[in-house]
Amino acid sequence: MTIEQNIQADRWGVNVESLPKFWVDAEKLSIIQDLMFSGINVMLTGDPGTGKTDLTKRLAQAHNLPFHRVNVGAIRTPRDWFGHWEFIGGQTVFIPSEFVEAIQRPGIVALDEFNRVTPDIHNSIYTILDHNREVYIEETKQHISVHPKCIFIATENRGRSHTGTFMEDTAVGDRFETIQLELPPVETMAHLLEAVYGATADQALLLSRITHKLNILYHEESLSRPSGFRPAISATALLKRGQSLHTALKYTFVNRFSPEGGVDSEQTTVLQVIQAYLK
Amino acid sequence: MVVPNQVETWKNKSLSDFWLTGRGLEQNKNGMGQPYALFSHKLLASEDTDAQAMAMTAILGAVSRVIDIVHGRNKFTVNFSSKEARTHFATKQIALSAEPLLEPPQGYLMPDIVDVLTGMALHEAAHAQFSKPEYYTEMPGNPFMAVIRNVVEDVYVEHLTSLYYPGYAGYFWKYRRYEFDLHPEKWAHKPKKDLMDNELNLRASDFLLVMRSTRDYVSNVARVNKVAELLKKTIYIDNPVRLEKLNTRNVSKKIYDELYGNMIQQDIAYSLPSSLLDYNNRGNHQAEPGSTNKDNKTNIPSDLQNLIQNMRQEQLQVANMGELMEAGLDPDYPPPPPPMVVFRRPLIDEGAAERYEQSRSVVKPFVIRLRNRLSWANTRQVINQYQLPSGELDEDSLYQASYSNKIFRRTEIINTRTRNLDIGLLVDTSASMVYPAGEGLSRIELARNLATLFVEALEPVDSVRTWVFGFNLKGAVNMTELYSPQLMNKARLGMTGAEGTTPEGTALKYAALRLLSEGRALVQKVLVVIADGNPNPGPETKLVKEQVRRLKSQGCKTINILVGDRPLEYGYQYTIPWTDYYTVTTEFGRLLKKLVEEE
Ligand SMILES: Nc1ncnc2c1ncn2[C@@H]1O[C@H](COP(=O)(O)OP(=O)(O)OP(=O)(O)O)[C@@H](O)[C@H]1O
Ligand SMILES: [Mg+2]
Repeated sequence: MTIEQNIQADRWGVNVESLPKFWVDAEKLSIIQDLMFSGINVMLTGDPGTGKTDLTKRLAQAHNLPFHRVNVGAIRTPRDWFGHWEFIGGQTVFIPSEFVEAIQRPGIVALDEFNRVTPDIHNSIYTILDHNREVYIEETKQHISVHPKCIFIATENRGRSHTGTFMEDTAVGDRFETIQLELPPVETMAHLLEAVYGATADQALLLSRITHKLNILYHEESLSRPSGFRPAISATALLKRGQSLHTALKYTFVNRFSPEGGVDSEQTTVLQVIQAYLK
Repeated sequence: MVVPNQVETWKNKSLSDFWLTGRGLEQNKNGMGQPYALFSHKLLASEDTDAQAMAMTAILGAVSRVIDIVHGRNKFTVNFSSKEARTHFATKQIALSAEPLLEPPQGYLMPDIVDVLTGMALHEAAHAQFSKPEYYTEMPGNPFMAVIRNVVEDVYVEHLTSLYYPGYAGYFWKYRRYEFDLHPEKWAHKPKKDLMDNELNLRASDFLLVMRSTRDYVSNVARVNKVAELLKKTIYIDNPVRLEKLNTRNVSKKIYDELYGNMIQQDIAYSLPSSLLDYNNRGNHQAEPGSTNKDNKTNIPSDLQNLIQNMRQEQLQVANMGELMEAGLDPDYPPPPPPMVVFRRPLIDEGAAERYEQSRSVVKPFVIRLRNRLSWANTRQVINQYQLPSGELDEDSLYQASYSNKIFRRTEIINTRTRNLDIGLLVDTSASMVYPAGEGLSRIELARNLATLFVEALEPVDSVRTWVFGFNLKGAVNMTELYSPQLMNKARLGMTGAEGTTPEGTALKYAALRLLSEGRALVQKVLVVIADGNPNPGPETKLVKEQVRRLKSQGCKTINILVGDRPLEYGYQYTIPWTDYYTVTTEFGRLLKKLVEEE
């Protein structure tokens, strides 16, 4: 079925109950879909590596919708959203951005790492994100309306260690409903590591347990940074390349933390956690 | 349940050196354990209570963290008991016997001792976590029942913890080996004249040993072995959720019936041997600390106990444990091991705030002056980018238009403070600092005033972060954290007393490590050392040179403000001798600007 057919065939707006090879809490998944099909913008938050970026894409796949991702952190001036000037054939012309194209058709537009930029960068798309859903582009003197089936999903990093990010902006907060993503439960994460990344059952369970415990310690402020999905994925990759378990753990989970402080260092804590689950 | 080859590993290898050394995951280990010597046995045996307390505090900290990992942060506090009693659950206090440390068994190295203490702490915490309330509140019918109840409960909570944290199972084994197998004669049954009494006691003692000894103890009484098998079958299952639901009171009752049938008459007052009484007392977790045992064999002196308490409140951290353990490898071989390096956050004493206020009033006229001297740190920056494919049209580059489309420019104005600085101040607090610095002022007072000046001047500047450490060598290299982004109470700056000697090189090394690990990434680091130019001779002086050189190569500048009368050259990149506030402020400002702009 083509995209157009699919959208017309009234499958638009029908929630899926789960996503292949990806875990989201069932209630959250249904709320996210309810919001996005009601024209309400969604903001995904959560620790690094909890699948925010990945989820935006998987939602598009699940609903067979076109997908456009904006790496918001790379936008330097408020006008960058809409395009740039180029010198072609003896004159300067304005080349509209893909973003401008994307918002005029059905699909999901992911605004990734939305809080990586200062609020003045957000300002120029406020009218796109609020009930107006339109914008005037000076450069081309065009009024653009957002397609009624264009869905905005933003992602945001929160957390103690995200120094590159900017204070929350209430104007942004008002334009999104926020859903916080979390790590999958231990068993589920282990299952994913096994099924998607090819870890053995034992390895998968071990990596998942370590990840979870480290994450708890981060939230208890015993560690300075969170451990999302990524170290476990990397460790699995190293294991599959034939590295030993110890080496894989060292270069992924342990080396992310500081060795300063001797027995009181974060690395010591991580080693204590690893030992707890090694048989 | 214990897998045989695991036991083989535990027999030969310490567990805690996995993290004590920080190198548990390194390959090419022979798997037979590291022969780390008892570095702190020397400390523990030494006359120096400070040093003893530090070693014990460090060990407690590490053990507590294992407990935190299992049960959640700050759920329990772990301490050494000054009396025998173990745990007080109402207040979530776990008190460890200090015996393994103070009277280490033969052949036990430091990691072995930490293993035992970890096992002990895990055992106590496991009771608090998994034993049901009736275990503490119910009075067992008779002393034999009490023994069985305790054995069942001990085995139960240990196995449950091991199911959730399989890698910690070995700590229980280490603890049991220490407790039950080092003095077999203590736990062995002692024959009694009365035949019935003898039989009852024999069964209890043997049952305890079969279940708790790590030496595959087999009883001569067949029934004991059979009943032990039954208990193992009941408890050593693989499903922790099912095990948590097990009613251990019923299990104990069943075990008791199997072991004794109706041999025990309720109207006779039986007495237990001292070993079993002792064992039962350990199970008596309700006890007030100190109320149980009279011979006080694990008593640690209360002054030591107090010191440890203080150090824990000061969040004392040993910064070089790994190095110490390695140095202890061959205790007979010179050079002597390096001193322990500890960071601590002193508790603010009464006069501190007042002394700080005094300093502040002295330096007040110079605070703004120094801050202004650093005003360049806040200038606005205009960045022009040219030759871009997009942006504002750059008319000057239109001449390129026929061969390039990169004719745009962009102007970025960064108004915020752009020169970030992380500044570490290192204040000599050794005994020589009590000497005068001129003008009726001691060196330490002057150093305090200068530290106050810096903090007062820099604190409001957003782009600058400041750390202040005092340092001296007394028992250990003491790095006292007087001010830092995490410790903003300035009264601590009034804490600078002067004692001990001057480990200047080591202090420099560890202050820099802190600055580099806690400071911001890619931010210019500067270390300012306020000292009187009298570092300990020999290695410490050499180390100053070495560290300065190393720091320089890492982009960290070092500046020495010399408050003594001996302006010795001993390795700093830049030295500003003390003259007066006006001159020092000016010179420092000028120097810093120059250094930072060099970058
Ligand atoms: N719930 C999940 N189910 C399956 N895979 C997941 C899940 N969460 C994360 N992952 C995997 O972990 C990796 C990191 O995820 P992703 O990049 O989406 O994280 P993020 O939340 O966007 O992180 P950051 O905040 O650092 O941008 C991806 O490979 C993703 O597939
Ligand atoms: Mg992301």
